[in-house]
Amino acid sequence: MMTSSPSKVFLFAALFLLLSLPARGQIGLVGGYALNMANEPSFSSASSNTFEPSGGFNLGMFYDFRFSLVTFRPGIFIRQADFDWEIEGISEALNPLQSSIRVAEFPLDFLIHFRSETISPYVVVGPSFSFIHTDQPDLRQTLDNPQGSTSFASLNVGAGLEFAPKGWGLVFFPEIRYGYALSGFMDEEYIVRTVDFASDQQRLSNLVVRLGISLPSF
Amino acid sequence: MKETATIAFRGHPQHAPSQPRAGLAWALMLLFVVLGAAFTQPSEALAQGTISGVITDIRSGDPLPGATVTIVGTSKGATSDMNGRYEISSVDPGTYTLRARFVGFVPMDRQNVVVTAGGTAQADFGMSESAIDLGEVTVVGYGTVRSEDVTGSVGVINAENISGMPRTSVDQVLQGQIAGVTVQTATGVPGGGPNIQVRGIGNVGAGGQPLYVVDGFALPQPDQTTSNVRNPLADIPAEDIASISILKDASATAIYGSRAANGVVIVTTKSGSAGPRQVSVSAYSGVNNPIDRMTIDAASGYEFALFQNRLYQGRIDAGTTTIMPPEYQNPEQYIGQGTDWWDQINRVSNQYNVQISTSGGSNQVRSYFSAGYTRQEGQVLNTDYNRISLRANLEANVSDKITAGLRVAPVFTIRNLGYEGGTGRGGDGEPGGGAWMMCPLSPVRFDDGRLNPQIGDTSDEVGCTGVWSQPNPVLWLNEDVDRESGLRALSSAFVNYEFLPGLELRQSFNVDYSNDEREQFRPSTIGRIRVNPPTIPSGSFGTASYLNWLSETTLNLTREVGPGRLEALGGVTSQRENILSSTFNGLFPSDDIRTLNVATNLTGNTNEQSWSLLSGLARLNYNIRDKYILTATIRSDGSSRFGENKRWGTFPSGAVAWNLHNEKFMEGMRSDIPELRARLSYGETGNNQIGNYSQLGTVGTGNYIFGGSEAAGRLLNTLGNADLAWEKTEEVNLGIDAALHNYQVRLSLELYQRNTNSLLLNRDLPFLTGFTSVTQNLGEIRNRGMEISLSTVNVSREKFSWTTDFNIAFNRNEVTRLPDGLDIFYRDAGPTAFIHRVGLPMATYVGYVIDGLYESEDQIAGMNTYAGAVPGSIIIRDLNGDGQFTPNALNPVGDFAVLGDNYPDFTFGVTQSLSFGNIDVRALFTGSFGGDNLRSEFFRTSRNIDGLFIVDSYYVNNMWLSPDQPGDGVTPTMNGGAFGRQQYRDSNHSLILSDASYIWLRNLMVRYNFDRGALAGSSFYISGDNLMILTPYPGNPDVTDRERANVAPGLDFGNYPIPRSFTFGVELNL
Repeated sequence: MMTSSPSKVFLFAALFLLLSLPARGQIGLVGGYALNMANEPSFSSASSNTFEPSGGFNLGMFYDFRFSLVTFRPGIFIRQADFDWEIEGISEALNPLQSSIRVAEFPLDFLIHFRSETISPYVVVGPSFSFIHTDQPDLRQTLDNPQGSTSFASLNVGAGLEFAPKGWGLVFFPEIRYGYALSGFMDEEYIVRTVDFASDQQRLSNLVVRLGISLPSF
Repeated sequence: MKETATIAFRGHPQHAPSQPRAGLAWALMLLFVVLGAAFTQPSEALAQGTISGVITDIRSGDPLPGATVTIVGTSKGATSDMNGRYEISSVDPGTYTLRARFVGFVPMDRQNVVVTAGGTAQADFGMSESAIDLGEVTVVGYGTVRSEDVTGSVGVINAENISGMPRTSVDQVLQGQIAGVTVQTATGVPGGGPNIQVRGIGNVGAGGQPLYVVDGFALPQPDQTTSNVRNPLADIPAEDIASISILKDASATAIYGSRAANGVVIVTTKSGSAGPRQVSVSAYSGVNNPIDRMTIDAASGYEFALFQNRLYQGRIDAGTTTIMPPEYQNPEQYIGQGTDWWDQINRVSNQYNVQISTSGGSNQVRSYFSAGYTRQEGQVLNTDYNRISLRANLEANVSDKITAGLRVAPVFTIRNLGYEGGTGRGGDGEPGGGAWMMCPLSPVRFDDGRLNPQIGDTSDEVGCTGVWSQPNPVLWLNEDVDRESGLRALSSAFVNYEFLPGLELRQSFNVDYSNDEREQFRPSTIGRIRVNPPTIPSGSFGTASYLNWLSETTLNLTREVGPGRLEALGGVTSQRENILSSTFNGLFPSDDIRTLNVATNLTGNTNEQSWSLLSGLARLNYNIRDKYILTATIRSDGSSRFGENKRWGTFPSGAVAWNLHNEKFMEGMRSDIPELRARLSYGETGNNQIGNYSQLGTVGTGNYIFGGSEAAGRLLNTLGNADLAWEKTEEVNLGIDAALHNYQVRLSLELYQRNTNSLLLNRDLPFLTGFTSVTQNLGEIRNRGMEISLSTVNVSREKFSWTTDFNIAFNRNEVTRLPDGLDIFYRDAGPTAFIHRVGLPMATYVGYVIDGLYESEDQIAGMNTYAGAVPGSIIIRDLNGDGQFTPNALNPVGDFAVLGDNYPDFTFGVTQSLSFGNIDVRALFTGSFGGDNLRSEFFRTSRNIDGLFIVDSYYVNNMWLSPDQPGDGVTPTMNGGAFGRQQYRDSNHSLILSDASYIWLRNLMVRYNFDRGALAGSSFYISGDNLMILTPYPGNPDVTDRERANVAPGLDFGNYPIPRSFTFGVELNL
């Protein structure tokens, strides 16, 4: 059956979900701003290549399974960012290359609430699995070749504040979270515009500030 | 000299093998053994008590006829009558829990019902409606099963999911509804069909479409080797549909054996039911608007003149010409001017539909009649689809033991094709592709109102120097005739005879008859590429008729056996199809007389083919106390399509389901988890979608010299293969279904792996054999993935409700074995290069890697490059470092690298349904992430940089001009030698791929429901299709070349565009 780690985690998540007996469920929407950051790799060659940090939207939906002070929150999110991609070794007239990147992210969040009142702070932690795609030809060629990777895993940590106005049935939560990429999205060796690069894996982490709304529970 | 000509093929109809092999015999023996065993079981012990009661709608108090009540933990149960009453007799004394179910209502339990010997326990149910359809009964192959008893992977769409969506055909209804079922809207051609895939691609040499079964009749699958894209389901109005079941895993589909490897779509049309006769009228009218982003953004008059100016200036600088054509000397004069040819052949079109139906009857006779008319005008001029449909579904209880039925559905259709025969595939030499390639400096009409006949360099009216002339596409579409009309009658009759309680014999006979005619005439007013009119008129007339019949005899047994309920099915089926077609072509002396009897150079051919299938099938379903359900099926097929040594195939499957919610340890959790089921299945299926005579060698004519003079002879054209057999698929499926929180949340998770082996591939042969290749069963493909479906009731208030249906599917495709481990490379005209390679997805894109553009002569001098490279030419990566830029005839892959593939990382569908009092709002989104398309329209259209045709606006505005004006750094100059230009426009390379991810608002509907007065039960709605598409792809991201969707997925030659539609409709229930 499935052997890739994202699939296994989905399976475990589903089983966990099924075994969540006293839960209550809520669907919700989230929108916000994401700062996408690729690490500065250490190159073994003389050339370098840098993605300037880039901001972009972050939109998605989730479903809450709440058990007292713990909430399991699987979701699906889309991030998009337009990177300035500086590549040392190609014409100055072309630098930076514009690289629009789209990331589909499937987080499996676990929230721990500190209080269960009208205002409830919480911390969030959990893995997420992302699929990255781009229409920038050089970057796509690097990602799509057999040694490349269009998927990577991250660890999300963050904190938020739930606010449930009485009588509304809605729950609002501003949240800040950091997604640390556990695996890379660029090859260890690759060529861009005739320039050879040999570096550590390049990873795409993100810092997100967003506002979510949990819709009324049934 | 030896001349060879292939004769018009007249196949020799074959008959199905008359000697079934052991598989069929084994299946039948197994069936009868089981039946015999069943009848030897002792009768149920005498009953001691009875449970009875009334089932009502708690809101209205109305009785609910047809609801079921079961005793939890046993197989006992009953169905309520017209007054909502039920009775379960022969119940042992004890205390029981009862469960009532009814479609559209929340299941309800009654606990602690005490039955005493000789007594009658009363247990009434007041049931409340559910926002989620719980699907009481699911249609599966050869029958129905309770939804709780389903052991395979089955997706269901009921009539209420379809209502209010203006759909001309059935397959459009499937879009975004079921996880793992991909419905690609590859073309908007009227009456054309989407490309449907169930759980990915699993075939190479055989067709990839699922099997369609309409009211039990397995329709012939379209021949993928032809260009006919007529939708096989377009003849069924969506309003006539009661339900659609998609059988996805092999345990569900194995009952259809050799045709089931691509999944099975079971369509059930509406039937009458006992009760007052109801009359329904459904009508809609709408407009279709072109969507700008669905086509190439062709250069404007100014941009085109600027492009030509730069082109000629480059040639003047290179000394290859001295003259700048006058029409290109001052591009600024065309600012704000020029003809947008694509706009000229597109239009705002209309669509209409009206459907009247009536259903009702008594307990003795029930009927459903419908009549409908649909007209769908195409977005492109002179293209449309018209359908008149009738349906009569009758069913009668002839006696206590005999039920008989008749279904007749004749459909008459007329299509005006216009746009390259309706294939929806753009290209040169036809008006769609022509409109993309046409010089924008020429007008559609002259000042005197005459249509400009020919556009381009050889036109004697307006010159576009250097641009190949072509017929005016507006004139072409208006004056060309390409019309197809057809009559199709789908009919079936059946008799059920219950000769013992629980044992029923069913005989059905089905006939699908179709007769199509196609008439084409191209008058002298339409020129040709680089040939001005008048031309010699030409025309053709073709007919095709086919008769397909299916006879099925099945025996059904339902009986209590041991601790559970046994349902057994066994039967034999035979099916045969005869196809007879003919086409005649001729040249005409004038445009006035268009009948072939005046034609000269008359040529023609006829073609006759047939196939047949003889099958035996059996299925056992054993339900032990509603907790454990075991299913086993087997089908043995004998097909005329395969070699005599491999004519029979046997396709077994087995599945087990465990209803955990009926276990005692779950009793305390039933309010939170009222339903929890685990399923595991394994099955084998086949794919017989190959030509009718692939296993045979074909014979052609060849003349030879005998005794010094030429004599007629025969020669073998292709080599036969008596061992040619099915592509076989083995599939394992693990499923988990759950309902949570009093059915407010329903979740389904599927994990599967499909291994397709014995792929049909052509194997190269040594030259000394006299043949180049032979078709053999070689190679394996694996598809594995995960599907999640989630339906939730988010809000449920008296005046407001909101439900969400979400599904997402992940599929990974991989070639796992090829003959001798060697790559199979596939290349066609234009940028179409694919490779089948072990370890990669099937039909992976390969091509050159373009490392940007040369910036200077110094850079060119310092690199290994090709002849004619200049600053601004593309840099092709010499992957193998041999100093050559290949592929070529000797090195088919050469410097081609893996570029990507068409397979998305995941696809999803979301339906949001909101209800505000009497107003319903529904939105359907679909999405796909991570697939690439191959923009083959680079070839001769958007990126032909030789100046022979138009280019797209992007090219003109982003091309390399100088080191200081490098454009986007990857769009080359039109200057330099031919090799670089040709590779840019004609070869696969990394710049041709484009991300085809999307989020697509497929449908948004707002409906008002009348709940009182004479119109109670009626509604009206407005609906919009394709209102929003978020995608980076410059065109239709769902595009594929339907003829080659499996072997070459994601090819974009510029299909017929998809319109944005707005529709107003009414549904009256009287």
